[in-house]
Amino acid sequence: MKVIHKDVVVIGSGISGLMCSIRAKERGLNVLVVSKEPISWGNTRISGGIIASNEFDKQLFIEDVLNAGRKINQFDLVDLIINKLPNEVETLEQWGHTFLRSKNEPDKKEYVQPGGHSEPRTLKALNRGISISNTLKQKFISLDIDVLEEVLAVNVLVQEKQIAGVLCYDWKNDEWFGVNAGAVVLACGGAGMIYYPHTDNMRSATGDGYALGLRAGAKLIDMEQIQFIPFGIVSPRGMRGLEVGDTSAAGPYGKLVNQKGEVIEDRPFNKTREEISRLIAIEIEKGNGTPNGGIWLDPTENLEHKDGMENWHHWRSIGTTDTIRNAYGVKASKWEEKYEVSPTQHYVMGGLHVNTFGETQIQGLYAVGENASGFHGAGRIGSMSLFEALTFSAHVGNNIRLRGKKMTLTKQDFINERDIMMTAYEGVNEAHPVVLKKELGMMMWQYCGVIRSEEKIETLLHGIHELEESVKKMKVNFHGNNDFFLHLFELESMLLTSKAVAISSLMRKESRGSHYRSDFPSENLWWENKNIIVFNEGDELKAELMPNEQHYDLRQ
Amino acid sequence: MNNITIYVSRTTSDKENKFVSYEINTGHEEATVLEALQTIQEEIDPTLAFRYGCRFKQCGLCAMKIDGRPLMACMTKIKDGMTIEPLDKIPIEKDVIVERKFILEKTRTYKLYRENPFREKTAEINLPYEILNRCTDCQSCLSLCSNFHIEKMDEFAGPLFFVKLAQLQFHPLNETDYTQKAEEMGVEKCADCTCRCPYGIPIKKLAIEPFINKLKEIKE
Repeated sequence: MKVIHKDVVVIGSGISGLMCSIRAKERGLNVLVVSKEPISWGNTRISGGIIASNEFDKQLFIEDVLNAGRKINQFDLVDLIINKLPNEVETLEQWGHTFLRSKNEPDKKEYVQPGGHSEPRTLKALNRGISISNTLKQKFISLDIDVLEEVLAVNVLVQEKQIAGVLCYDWKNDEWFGVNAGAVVLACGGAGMIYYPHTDNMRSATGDGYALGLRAGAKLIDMEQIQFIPFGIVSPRGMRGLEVGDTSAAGPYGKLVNQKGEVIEDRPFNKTREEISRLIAIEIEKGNGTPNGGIWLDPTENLEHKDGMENWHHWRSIGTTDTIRNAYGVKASKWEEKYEVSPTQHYVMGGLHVNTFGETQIQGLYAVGENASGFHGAGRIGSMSLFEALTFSAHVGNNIRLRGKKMTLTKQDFINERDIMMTAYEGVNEAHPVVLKKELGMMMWQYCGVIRSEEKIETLLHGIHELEESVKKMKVNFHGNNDFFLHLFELESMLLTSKAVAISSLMRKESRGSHYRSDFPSENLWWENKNIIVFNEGDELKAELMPNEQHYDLRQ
Repeated sequence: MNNITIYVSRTTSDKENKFVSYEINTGHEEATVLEALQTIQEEIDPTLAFRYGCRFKQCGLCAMKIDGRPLMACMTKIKDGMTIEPLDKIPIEKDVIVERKFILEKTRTYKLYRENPFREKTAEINLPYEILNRCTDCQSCLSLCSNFHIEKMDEFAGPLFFVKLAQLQFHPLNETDYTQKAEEMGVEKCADCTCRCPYGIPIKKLAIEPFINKLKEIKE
């Protein structure tokens, strides 16, 4: 087995993994990026590319974030990212990305105001997220940062609560690597696949970072907070779950209509993602949905108004109407007829519990982007994921500290770790991980999707347990192109992430932000400053309450 | 119901690719090639390997040869009798998956990146740049290029890399001329380029001719 020595290992290569590794490399650190997909093929690449900027009224910005987060945000992170960190969107342009300019004043960048923002502070990308992704990749390549591309980081190794290294597996060539590291950054992105097909995420978003972190002994926070964006494609089946905008994509005059023809929401435009997702899900559960399992979004009245048409032009400029056209045809994409929508999983607000340097409870283990949690709290407004990921991962890369005590894992240490992996699976396969992944996705959507209850979650936990038992019986042949192991690894990440979502959702006996319990349908003051933490104890996943003691006064 | 038979190229234990026929029920008329492959994977043979990412043509991972043409599986309707193969010209990893790692390596060796940050100013976005910027690295153009040979990339880079170079050349703030580099990468071999891009980038017009024309000017 080849053993490599690095200062910093970054796992993942979306906006966070790239930005963090660039900053660390610029400081002269010896950096390795391990990415199971080709470098830069994360959710960043397929995002709309809209990104907020912290150059305007910071107090107002903080209020917007806390408002969406329903007061369970970690205030130190909010204060740091908005008040103290530099505006990195400028950096993106210096490296070659282009933000759209105003039509009337071509010298000035055009700022827009997505739902939940109190002023225009959001920039739109030329050619959506792919331009941001390619810009960062180009910078990354120019710095000659080492990569293990299309290689799995299988296990983060810890000794005495300090980071030690990473065990990696190239499943295409059946080759193992041991990497000694002074610091490890989890930048694996979200976990949309736990709801597949009801998600707009990339296939690779399987919660790997949450699972790696939990197994290493770090803690997750707010895992019940999963964002469902209200307008996802319902049909055709192959496009199910793809995102076609948040509430403001209805236009100022759009309305929601059920299968009986009743208007269930006259003006979703100014409502939150959470409110409208919930409303649609409840209506569908009542049996008033379309035969395909959606609700009608009727945007046609927008065409009669100037501001309605302006709004349509906005959605066209960020490519959303292309998705509508591919699914429902030209007329729907021009808002000349109604089309079916249903909520779809969009983002995981929960994640690894980190301090203001991105560090977890394990010294030298960091998390950034969608893997980290605390900034968004119980809800995230549009254009904030790329903003938070870019700003915070740059800061983490700038300040990353290598763990104090020198600890070097020997080749034999890595071989022992590998053997534990290889001997864990010596049963008889009753089902393939690909099939079990699909079963899990259906279960999560049904029992821990937009509408949750104690009864549903208990059913889900039982189902997860059965899948776990099937996994324990798996047999893996370690030779040749071993994509079976890739799917199995992803399935296990998905199971652990799903369980964390389930036990957190069970514990929060109220409805707050994106978390809705039909048996506790309102927000409860008692829960206002409390977070739920998930950690591994023995081989059990446990949830417990953590008081959020970061008091803040918006009027300061 | 929609029962169809399709032919998918599979890698055998001898590391050769051979067509295997599958009879599937697509469930609905709008089904795509990607859905058909997923149906095979989930219901008939889970060992079938294929790449995909976003399901709406944004990521560029699912390009494959469908009825003889490179297309994106997620946006191509499946039809009875279709053949589905890996892209030509690029080494096969397994079934319909071809290698990708060489793209990053070659981008590094050709130095297809800006070496200095821009001076601060703004410029209007030009249309060629906007169109070139749509490239998703799907590799379709490489599979169609008669000059491209993966083992001879030191002599000839291939259309994907000319697109990358043109992105640098046409960037609204660019002040460097990359024509010399284009010559070194073998752009002059492409005067008769017939590559087609699934994203509609006119590769010859925007990524080849501008360099060839400039080289002619220099040489005259």
